[in-house]
Amino acid sequence: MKKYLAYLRCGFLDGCAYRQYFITGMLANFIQAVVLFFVWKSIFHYQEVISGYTWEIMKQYVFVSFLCNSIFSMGFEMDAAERIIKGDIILDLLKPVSYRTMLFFRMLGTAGMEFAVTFVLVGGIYLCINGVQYLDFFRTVLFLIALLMGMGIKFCLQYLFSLLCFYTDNAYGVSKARETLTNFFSGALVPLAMFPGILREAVNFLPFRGIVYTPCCIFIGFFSIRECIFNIFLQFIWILVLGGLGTLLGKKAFSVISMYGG
Amino acid sequence: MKALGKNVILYFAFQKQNIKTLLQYRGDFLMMIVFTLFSQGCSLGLIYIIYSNIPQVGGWTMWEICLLYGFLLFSEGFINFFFQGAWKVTNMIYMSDLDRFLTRPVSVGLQLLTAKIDFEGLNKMVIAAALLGIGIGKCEIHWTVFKGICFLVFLGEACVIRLCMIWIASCMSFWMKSKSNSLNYFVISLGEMAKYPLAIYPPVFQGIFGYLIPYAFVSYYPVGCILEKEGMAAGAACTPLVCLVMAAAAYLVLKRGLRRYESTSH
Repeated sequence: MKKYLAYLRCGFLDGCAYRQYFITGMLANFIQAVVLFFVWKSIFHYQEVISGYTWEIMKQYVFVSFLCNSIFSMGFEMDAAERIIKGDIILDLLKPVSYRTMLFFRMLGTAGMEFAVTFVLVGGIYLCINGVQYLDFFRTVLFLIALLMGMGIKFCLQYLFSLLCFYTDNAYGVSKARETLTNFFSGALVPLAMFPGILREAVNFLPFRGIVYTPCCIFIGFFSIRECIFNIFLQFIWILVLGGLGTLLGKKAFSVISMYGG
Repeated sequence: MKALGKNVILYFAFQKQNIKTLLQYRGDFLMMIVFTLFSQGCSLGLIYIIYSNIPQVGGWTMWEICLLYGFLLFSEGFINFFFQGAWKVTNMIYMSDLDRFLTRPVSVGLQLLTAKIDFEGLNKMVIAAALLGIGIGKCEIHWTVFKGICFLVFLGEACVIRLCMIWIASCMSFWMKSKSNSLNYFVISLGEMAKYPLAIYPPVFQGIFGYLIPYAFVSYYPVGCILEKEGMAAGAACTPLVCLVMAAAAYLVLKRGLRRYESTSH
């Protein structure tokens, strides 16, 4: 465990040293959130309720979903690809630690830094706009659990996508694709309840909803306590499934690399 | 005039070399096409979902928004394909790659602009053209020859304005002297705002992101003018002026920046 803590620290320092990348990424996401905020505002100007959402709820949703979406979202595809192309990946694989666990702790360290920044920023804006009237202690605790679970799902997905980099040089494309996929199907942009007909049914069977939609609904109070617990359980199942898939495909991907020299 | 002709010939010569470098990664080409189609599909899906719940945003219908989107995407693709080098300025300055350019008897601006090519741009332009086509078909526009010409001119101007924005943001690296410069990324991300009518934002945002960074003239006024919405004509008439100002600013920034440039010796 101690060796992984070293990676945790390493990730944290990494995040602090290269904070510019994180801030840029967050800013881009934040612009999107602001744009959506005003789009919704103008929409609710005409129509009071859309698929069960009112402007009061939407005001919370936009910022809470931004919080869920921006933490842990940097991804390590680019990093992994660079290491694969350069051959450095072999150093990671040779070490007496599990490659995935190492990545996880590094990411966790970085996420710690990101979380602090985003939390203060979003929390501040949220309180400015909504005040404390909707906050509920029990729900907030459940929300934090769901948020952590969501980060687990996010990590499993990132790992799966980073394995693709063993087969292609286009890491930017891979990470962009993952980002788009997650943004769209997790409910980061539009609440999943607003998806039209069959698509709404379909997204319920995808892992992405656990990343943003589940924590958001718990926080806003769309789920009853029973539903909350069921959904958190569902997130857990997805982590197991995606984790298992990662182990399987990881074995395959590692066998592809061939290195010259060293 | 002769100098201009020479630069055009050189431009194509440089780009030809860039295309050759792309052949190195043939497999990725297909992947890139799939990824671009996919991510643009998702962005459009977002608009579709919003509109499946409501009839209009800020008085604009879905197909009108499509036109806004088309203008933005086309200009983005145009830069990616023809002048992707604008993105590489920071790295060039940091790595002192600029030294190589300065020794050649060719304008540095041209060499920087052609430092890279990105085929994703072509893909984006095709998608944007299709979107514009569909949008035009679905919106009831009273076409005249003049309007047709205006449409093409506006599209061209959108490309120029956006190129200048990125160029100026990238060239700030001459003053910042750091390894990376996120300004250009920030500027392009702001395009997200221009996908929806400017009128929905509060005045402060409009001022900063519509006029100071002139996104209003990239998509909002031109499309509004073509759709004959109220109060758009004056804004649209200003576009060529904005275009000129931006181009002049871009030229100045490069000139001033180069004067400041001091290579890290190798």
